[in-house]
Amino acid sequence: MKTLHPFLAVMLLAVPAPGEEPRLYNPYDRPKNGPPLTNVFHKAQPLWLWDKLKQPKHHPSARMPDFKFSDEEAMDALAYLKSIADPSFPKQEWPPWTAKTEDTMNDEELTEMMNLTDMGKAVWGNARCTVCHKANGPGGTIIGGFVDLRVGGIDLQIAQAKLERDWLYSWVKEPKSYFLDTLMPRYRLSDSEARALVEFLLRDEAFRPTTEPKPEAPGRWKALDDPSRISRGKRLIELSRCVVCHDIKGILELLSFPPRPAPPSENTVSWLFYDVRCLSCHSIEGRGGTYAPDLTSEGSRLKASWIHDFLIQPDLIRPLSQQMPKFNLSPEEAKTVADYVQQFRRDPRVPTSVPPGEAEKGRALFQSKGCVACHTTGEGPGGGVGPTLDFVADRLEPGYLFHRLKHPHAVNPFSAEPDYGLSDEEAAALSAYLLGKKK
Amino acid sequence: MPLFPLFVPSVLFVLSVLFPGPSQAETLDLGRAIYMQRCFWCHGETGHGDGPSAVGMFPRPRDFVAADYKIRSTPHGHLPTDEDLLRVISRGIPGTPMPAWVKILSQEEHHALVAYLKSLSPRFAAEKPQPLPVPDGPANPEAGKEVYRKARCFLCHGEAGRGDGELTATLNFEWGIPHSARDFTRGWTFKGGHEPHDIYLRITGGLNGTPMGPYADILTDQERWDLAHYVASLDLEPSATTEDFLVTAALIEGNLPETHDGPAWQKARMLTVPLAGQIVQSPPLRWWTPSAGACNVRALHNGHDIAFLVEWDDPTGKPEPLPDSAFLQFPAQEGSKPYFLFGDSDNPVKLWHWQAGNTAEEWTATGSANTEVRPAIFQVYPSYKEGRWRVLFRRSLSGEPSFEAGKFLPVLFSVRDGANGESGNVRATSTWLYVTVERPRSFRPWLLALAYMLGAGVVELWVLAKLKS
Repeated sequence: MKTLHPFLAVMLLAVPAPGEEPRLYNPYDRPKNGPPLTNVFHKAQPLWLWDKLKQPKHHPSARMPDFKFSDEEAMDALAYLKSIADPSFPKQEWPPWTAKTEDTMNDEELTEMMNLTDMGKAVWGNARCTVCHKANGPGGTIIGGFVDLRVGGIDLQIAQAKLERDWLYSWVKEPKSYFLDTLMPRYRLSDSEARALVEFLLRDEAFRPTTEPKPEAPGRWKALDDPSRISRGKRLIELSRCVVCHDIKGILELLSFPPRPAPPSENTVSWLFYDVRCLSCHSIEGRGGTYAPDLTSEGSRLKASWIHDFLIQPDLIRPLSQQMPKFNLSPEEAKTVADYVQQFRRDPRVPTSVPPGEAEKGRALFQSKGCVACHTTGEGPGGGVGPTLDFVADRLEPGYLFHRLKHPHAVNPFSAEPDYGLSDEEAAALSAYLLGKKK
Repeated sequence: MPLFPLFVPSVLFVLSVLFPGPSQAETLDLGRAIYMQRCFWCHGETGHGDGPSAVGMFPRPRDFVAADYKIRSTPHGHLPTDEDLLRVISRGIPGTPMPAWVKILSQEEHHALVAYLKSLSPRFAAEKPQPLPVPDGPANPEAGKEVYRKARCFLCHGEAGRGDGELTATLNFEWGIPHSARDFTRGWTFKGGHEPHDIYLRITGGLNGTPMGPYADILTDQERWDLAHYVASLDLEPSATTEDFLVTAALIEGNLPETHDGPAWQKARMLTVPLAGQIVQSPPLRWWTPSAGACNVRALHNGHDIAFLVEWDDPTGKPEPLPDSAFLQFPAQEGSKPYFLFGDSDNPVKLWHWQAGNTAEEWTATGSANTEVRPAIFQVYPSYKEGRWRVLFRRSLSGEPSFEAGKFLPVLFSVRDGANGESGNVRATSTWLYVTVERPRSFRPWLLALAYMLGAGVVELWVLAKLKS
């Protein structure tokens, strides 16, 4: 059951020679799974931190062990964490109304706030935040290890009971500036989009605790500034081996990691994978996440032009399945990735051409085999289980289409598609029919 | 005579000129030659710990270029001394693929190898490692126990020192991040030795590159010395008993205990039975990494019933993803000694199978694939505490098989740790041992002896009388 520790995996991101396959950043190859704690006081509210230290298992997907800290010990540890927070942590200018509750705003402020949260909701939707994060109410998937913003019953886990405004802004803008090894992509949000998202997260009831937090004793956190507490906290953090998972300023580093490679040079495919963290969800040759499709041989499957357009504007492919977020890539960036996939991500088993066939015969076969049960073709009703085939010719390489029809389970053994044992002639006819499905 | 003190050095000088020892270059060449023959397979051609055999090896072979040595007599982050390196080469590292070279390499070769290893890192030229002083005064293991709590050692090593602390359990067993803490009850697996002296150095200087940090600045010398003795006292030291293969059920009066403590168990001798992964049969898997390295066995009987108490360490005790289980195996037919993995087609075995969640079954098996399950005719009393399972099996002495005084019945012990992915034949097992029951106390031997003595006396008197007459 022993697996190779991520930090033992090679993290090379060197610039490849021309024509050589670039090494792509895998966010799971990180030395420490926990976020850095040096500036955690800029990120989270003291009550939340205290609860996390006292009851780490409140959070169902938490990796943190229960250290069985006493109340005093938890305060000591917090005191040290507070003492190391960087005073120059970036702050934003916020309009005065952001500090007010909705009841105390005037009409003008209320309208401004509503407009901003509406825009934030759109950013939340476009960025497909729910792929990784949960919110109150229906919807929301969670992938192991990702941050759950809403956990049933534990209201402290909710964004509005946890996060600080300035931190949240810098996080959604530049996640790597806080946690270099995060799995979260950088979305290239504009300043106004980031502000809207922050407002949405801090206002919408989807991220609001459902119960009022207990009132805290006034001045409870004043005790954190006691110097003797700070030094006791430092010792406690040392003895509790927090540095095994977190970077913490001033605590002796015990584990030896290979030196961190320099980030790839900008606008290369390596850099795009590093910046957008594609392998948080996708995998290539066994490296990366499991949420999204494997990209190992997507170059044989998808047309470069389609990859390019999809990266810029991800559309629905499988209406009932997960969707890719919009990463706000430029056309040049999309081209860089599409070229990489076309050049390096190929499967030698997939033919590059398709034998000639009769499209009309293909159409008849499509009906007689019952393909419409799962697919739509833009001609009458169809099912939603399989990908839509309305414009399949724009998406798939002809050779792949033929290969897939012939051997549905060769590419994906778990595919729901039945193997009809089609003859070459039948597969060619179906291919010819489907290759007419263009925009 | 006054010239004599000068004589010895001058002779030595002349000798050294006439017969010079190996030069530094020659030593390095020799070291390199040995390295390329013996070491590079794991440690790699350039010494980066990336040799052809290193793939999948855990722990990873040492990277001699990074020179982050774990087993040192020097402070944390420092280089090891030559003696440290010599010792590791010579005795190997228990529990890892690093063998002991003491019988393979000569002393000169050991030294040459050390010189070569040091040449792989520029740090050795620049730094002069100094060994830490080790106290030699008295130590108080009881005080060490308090230090163990104060320094939060239990977080990784567990309350009872079985390597089952909260941190280890979470990181290693829940999340598969291989930071495992040493189980102090298995002293023979200590990488740098299990004498208090060795343990003191590990505590003081830590193990570079692992979560085991240095305690030099955290605890006083005496605290660390006490702690080292406390840790050493937890070692179960099975070395004296590994060859002992007889479980003797001690005879007691009255009912057999249903608990795992109590005075009755003091009467039974505890046997440490080494366990190894099942690596003979696959599928499903040859199992190299069982979490139990040994189990402790005691047995009692009262003339009617027999009880076996089997104890083994399990860092989690959790029923996920699979339940923990254990069994005792006996031959099903009198006088046979079947194949040790579930018997064979000619020689069936009987198994007393227990699975956490209180499943108890009796199996009859003729090989791993042929198992017939019946309800148990024995009772089981399991408990789990502080990283240790204790399972009591109890049955009548008569039955299949029957336990009788004077009879030596083969017995085998096997356990599975579900959290470590063990089930079916993926398990830790012992080899065949024997079990016998203590003979009930009776006057028969005494009466017989008396009768023989009387008989002999009568014969003697008769012979004397005959001789006289």
